Amino acid sequence: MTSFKISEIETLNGKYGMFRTLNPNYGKGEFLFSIEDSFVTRDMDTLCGSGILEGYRPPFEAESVIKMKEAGGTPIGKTNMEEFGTSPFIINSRYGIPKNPYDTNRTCGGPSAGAACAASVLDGIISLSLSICGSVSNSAAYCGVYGMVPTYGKISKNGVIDSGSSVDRVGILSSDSNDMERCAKLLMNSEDKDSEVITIGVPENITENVSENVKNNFKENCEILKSIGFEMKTIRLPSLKHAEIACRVLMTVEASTSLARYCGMRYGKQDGDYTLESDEFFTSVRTEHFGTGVKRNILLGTYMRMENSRERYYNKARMVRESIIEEYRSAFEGCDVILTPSTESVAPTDSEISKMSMVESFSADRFTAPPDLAGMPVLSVPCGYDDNGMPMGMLFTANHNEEGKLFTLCKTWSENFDMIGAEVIL
Amino acid sequence: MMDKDTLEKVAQNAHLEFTEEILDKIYTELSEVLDYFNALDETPVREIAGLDPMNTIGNIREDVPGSEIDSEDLLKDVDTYDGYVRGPRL
Repeated sequence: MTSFKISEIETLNGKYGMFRTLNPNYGKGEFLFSIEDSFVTRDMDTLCGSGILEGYRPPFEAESVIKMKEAGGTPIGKTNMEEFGTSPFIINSRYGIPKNPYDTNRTCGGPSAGAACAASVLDGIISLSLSICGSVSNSAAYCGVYGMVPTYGKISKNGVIDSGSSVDRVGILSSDSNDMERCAKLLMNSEDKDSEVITIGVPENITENVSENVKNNFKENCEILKSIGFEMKTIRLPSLKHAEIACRVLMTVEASTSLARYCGMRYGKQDGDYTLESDEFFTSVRTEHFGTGVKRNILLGTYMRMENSRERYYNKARMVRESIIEEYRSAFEGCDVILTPSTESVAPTDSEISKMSMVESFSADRFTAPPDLAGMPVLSVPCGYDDNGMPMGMLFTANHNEEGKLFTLCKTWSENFDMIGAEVIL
Repeated sequence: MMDKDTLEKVAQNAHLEFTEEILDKIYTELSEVLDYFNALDETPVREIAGLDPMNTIGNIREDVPGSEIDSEDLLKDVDTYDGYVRGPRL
């Protein structure tokens, strides 16, 4: 079993900032796991990276946390995340910004940043995270670990504070592919056997506008997969280019409604001025305690569900979802899984992110959002390192309920790939 | 397309307040985002089959009504008055 002293974890957290808080009851267990701050926990506050939930100690625990504990798991702490997971990168956070273990000047992503950082720094632990627009897969790639998200609905979201309820899913990250598989099966209540994979489909022109190092690495890995014995086949997914937009539209619209409950009455920080009229009261609490990024996304989501724009954005995004599901299903008639890079580039630097517009930042989700939109199971595996030693990932997508094929690929790939962990110094 | 007046109304509906300077900045950012999202106009109009396009039946549990959490537990951290949740004046 992987084991760390609490003093070691505290030191590493000081350096990498993956945890918002550590478990006060940390002790021995059969395995260690981290819990993203969007999963409710009895022993630790649950803040979703937001000031509006400061001091919130839930009276119950997320179903996935209960299952992990019942299986002998010990929680290490709550991992940092982008506030309510509404942006692709953590830029401003009152609770800390996780630093990439391969280069501390680079990002770990957004919603799943702390979870991926913890899985990378603490070798062999399991990290639970909510995948928002594909965040589990892209953070796994940025931090050089394995990340898996099963079919929508296969892992309970009971006790998970989601943003886009129709697209968000629970995912698992780890540097150990076997442990990740065991925990995925545990959380899915599934004894799924590994399934045979013969043909891997690669969408045509998938590496257009991808960085040179990721493009070259992807080509090399396609050759490696061929040499292992898989048949590689080019497929067409015409709706792919619109699927990333549709996923973000649905998440933003749904988040704007799910975040409406945080108004200082029943939900959200209760320090409002009761002498105010109700509208002023709600406005004052929300304005004071939500961060800028969340406010911006609430405005965007609220606008896109207004009567005059609902058809153009929200309903159109739902149509794209149905089209991409049909296209995926049709593609799976000719191949077992679909392969793309996990991200367009290695993890960007903090300085690069600070210069990005909102639209530019969405490119982080280009490959990972479409499967989340369609609810298809995905597996991101580490698959190489650039000249600066930064990790790259590739993403396997299977048809609904065909996680067994991803388990097969995970085993085969981990046996054929030399993983280079981050150089973590205590 | 969204104009500045509409954005102000949206902010009011969403119970959020901004300084003029921040709202101007957000207006510019969101206009760019909506331009990008307008790529959805290129996609064909089609029927929307329903609320469960992923056909999750079989993966999710039965929707059985029930209460797993004691209401006193739920209310212990809430500002209450005489058993009711305290709120602003209506």
